Order: sequence, then structure tokens, then C-alpha cells
Amino acid sequence: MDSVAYSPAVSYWHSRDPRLKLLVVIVGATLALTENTLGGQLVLFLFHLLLYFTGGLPLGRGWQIFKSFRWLLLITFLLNLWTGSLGAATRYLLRLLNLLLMSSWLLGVTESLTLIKGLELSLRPLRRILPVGEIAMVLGLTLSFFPLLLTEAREIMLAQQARGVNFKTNWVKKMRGLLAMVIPLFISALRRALEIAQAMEVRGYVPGAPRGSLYELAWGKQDSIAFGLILCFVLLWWGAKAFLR
Amino acid sequence: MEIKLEEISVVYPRKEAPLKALNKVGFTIKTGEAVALLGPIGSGKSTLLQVMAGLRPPTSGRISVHGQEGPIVLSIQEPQRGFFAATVREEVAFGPENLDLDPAEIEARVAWALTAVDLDRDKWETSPLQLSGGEQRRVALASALAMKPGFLLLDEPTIGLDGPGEEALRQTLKRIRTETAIGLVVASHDPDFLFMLTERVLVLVGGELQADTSWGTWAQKAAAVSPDLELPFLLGLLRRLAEAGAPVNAAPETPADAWDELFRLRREGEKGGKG
Repeated sequence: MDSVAYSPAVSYWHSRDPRLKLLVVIVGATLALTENTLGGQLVLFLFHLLLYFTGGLPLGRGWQIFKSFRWLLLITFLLNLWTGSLGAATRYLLRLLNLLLMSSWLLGVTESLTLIKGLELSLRPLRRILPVGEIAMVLGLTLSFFPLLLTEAREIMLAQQARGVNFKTNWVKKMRGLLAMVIPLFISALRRALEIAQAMEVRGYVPGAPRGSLYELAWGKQDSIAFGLILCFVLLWWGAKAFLR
Repeated sequence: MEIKLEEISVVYPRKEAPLKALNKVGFTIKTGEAVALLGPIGSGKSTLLQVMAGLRPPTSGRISVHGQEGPIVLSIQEPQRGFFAATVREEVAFGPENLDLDPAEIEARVAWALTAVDLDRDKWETSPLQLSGGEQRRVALASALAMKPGFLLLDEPTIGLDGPGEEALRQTLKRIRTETAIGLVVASHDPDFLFMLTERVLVLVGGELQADTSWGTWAQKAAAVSPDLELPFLLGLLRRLAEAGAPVNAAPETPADAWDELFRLRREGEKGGKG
């Protein structure tokens, strides 16, 4: 989980508008998915590394990505080696790494709720056909539900251990312990969901009604400059592709 | 601003037998009033508050609201269980956001409400889940106050609070009453808390409104209405003294009057001792 958690720091990318960062990811991911040469993937990898380090993200985080996805990376590599060449296998490996690096970077330099706000504002033109505000609200609630469930799970575990449920010995007992854990957790999650729904209702939340916002996202000069740089990168990329072809 | 309830009934459909939670309840409350809602467990207090807040349509009867100084906001039982925002500020901002206000106005209201409940400024950016129980209740109160309610309905606000926490809550509510035009309705099992905060008493027993009166009158008829309902300590004490033959007015309307009565009794006792 460390490789996708928000990493609080002061960096160039931390202070950029989430909409810009979303655009960077869309551009980066599109290029990574469509690029079919090893050289191109390598250039993208370097570009993503540049983003990664200008975002002030720690090295250990990069290693975490590698570690958590090692089986996926290894299998992809071996499969492509088997069906294709070493070049193709490396290309696929780099492509995967590019995508992973990109998403880890985005989640590292953007707080989840800011990101959701950015997503909501980016999708606003579609609000006639999509319930954009509600989607953002559900995403935000889902995110804030995780820590709640974790705390609850810990409490239930303690309560069940106090009553003699064993989570540590052999696997039969472990399974039984798990059952004693999952059922109350499920019930409490449902109850909590109802409580939150009630709490939202008493404070006047009406799905679909216009809502204000505590934070306004402000697109600054720095964001425009960064936007220009990204545009230049894409143009250069296309130029170089056309030239090399 | 005024809320008027006429013959409100609420029936919960049940398989065995439908449950009558409220039976033809009617009264009017105005801005500026502070009303205590008394009643044993299961007497329909929470249902009544939900009806007043417009969250539950009554099965029959009419509820009308005149004037629009602010919304009618209900603070539910154990409100901290409904927290979901990442920071205290965002939690408190949720209500004003739903009123579709400008960011600057939302910001100002959040700051006002959090200051009103006396929450340390360095806690505004932390997760509300990391606060202590008492602090969580302050945040919950702030999130209701930030909506600038015309009426604030509180359902068991003292549950889970210790003595100082209860005192702080009472002081905050009293201050809000003097600073803004607000009507309070407080349902609680703590008669002392209610006596010190409110002037009017509504008593629900079995879904029926048994009394709509002042504290002084309630002190005289409480025992006849329901033996389960405890009087505030001061009123109970005066009542016992009166029953024992002491020359006291057993029906004072406010805590200050009750204290005066006790002091008078002591002065007279001293005089009598000397004479």
C-alpha cells in the first residue's frame, strides 16, 4: 500500500493543480500504451523517472512498487520472452513499469480528496450526461471508509480475542477466527454506512442538488507553464517519431 | 420563525402489529425558545425530532414552518459515528457546502463554528476520528452550527460526555442563544442539564404529548404523569422539603429561583433557631 499512498512533501508537483496532473497521467499513459519501440519506452521511462524525482518522492517508494508487483512483472517478462524476443519482453516490462510509476507518482504528489476534486472539475462539462458530483462524492466516501473499517476491524479483533478466538495458531482455527471477524465487520460496515447516510441527510445533503465547496482549485501561472512544457514534450515526441520513421 | 405541528402521528409498519411512535402530537415553537423534550426510552422523542427536521414524513397530521431565518438542523444521537471527512474543517464544511454557498462564506462559517465550540485551532486540520470523545462532540455541534440553523434539534447531546464536557456544551449553547436568533429543542435523559438550559418542557409518554408546560408546573405534575421521569435534582429536593412540611415554594421556574428558595429557607431556619 505504501507505493500508492500520499507522500506529504513540498515539491514542484505537490503544489500543481490536480487537473494538470491528471492530464500528465493521461498523456503519459496513452504514450506508454501506444508506443511500440524499445527506445520510445526507454525515453518514457526516463521522463517518468524525472517526474518521480521532481515530485520529491523517496527512492524506497519506487522499490516498493517493484516489490509489490514483482510477480506480475516477472510473468509478463517471461511470457513475452517465450513468445517473442528479449527486446519485446523488455519493452513490455518497461511499459508496465511506466504505467505503475505514473500512477504511483500521481497518488504520491496529490492528496486523494484534491484528486477527486480535480476529477470532478475535469468531468464537469459532462455533468448533463453523468452525475459527476455524486461520482466524486462516492469516490471520496469510499476512500474515507478504509481507515474506518481498519479501525473497526482492529477493535473487533481485540473483542474476539478477549473472548478466546484464536487468530494465530493452525489454519483451521485461523479460518474460524476469520469468520468471527468477517461477520461482525460486515454488519458494522453496513451499520456505519447507514449512520453516515443519516449524518449526511441531517446536514442537508440532497443527491443531485447544487453544492458549494470549501476549497476552490485555482489554476495558477505555474500550472500554465507546466501545461506548456507537457505540450512541448508531446509535440517533440510526435516530431521525433515522424522524423525517425 | 416558527414550527407548528398539528395532530402529528407516525406509525411504523411492523409485521406483528404496527407501532404507533407518535399519536396526534401538536404544539408550536418559536425562535428564541429553548424547549426540553422529556420522555422514557421508546416514547417517540427521536421520531418527533426527525419529523420536525423534515427527515421523516408523518403518517398523518400537518407540520408547517413560517419564516426562513435558517434551516432546521438535527444533531443525531452519537453524531460522531457519522463522521467521514478527512479533516475537521472539511467535516464542518459539509453542511454549508450543501447550502451551495461561496467558498469564502463556507470558510468563514467553519471558522466561526469551530471557534464557537472552543476547539483548539491546531486540531482543525486533523482527522475528526483522531480526536477525543469530547472533542468529537464539539466538532459534531460545530458542523450543525455552521449551517446557521433557525432551529437546532439535539438528540441526547450529553450521552458519552463527562461533567466538564457537559458543562462546556451547556455554556456553548447558552452563548449561541444570546448571540444568534435560534430555537433549541433538546431531547435528553439528563433532567439537570435540561433544567439549566431550557424554559419550556414537552413530555412524551408512549408517543403522546402528556405535558407542554414550564419547569415549575412540571415539578408539580411529574409524579402524576409518569413515575419513570426523574425531576431535576433541585426541583426534586424542593419537592421533598415541601412534602416534609418545609415552607418552600416547590415550583420555581428557573435554577436561580430554586437556589433562592433554598437560601431563603436556610435564612429562615437560622432566624427560627435564634428565636
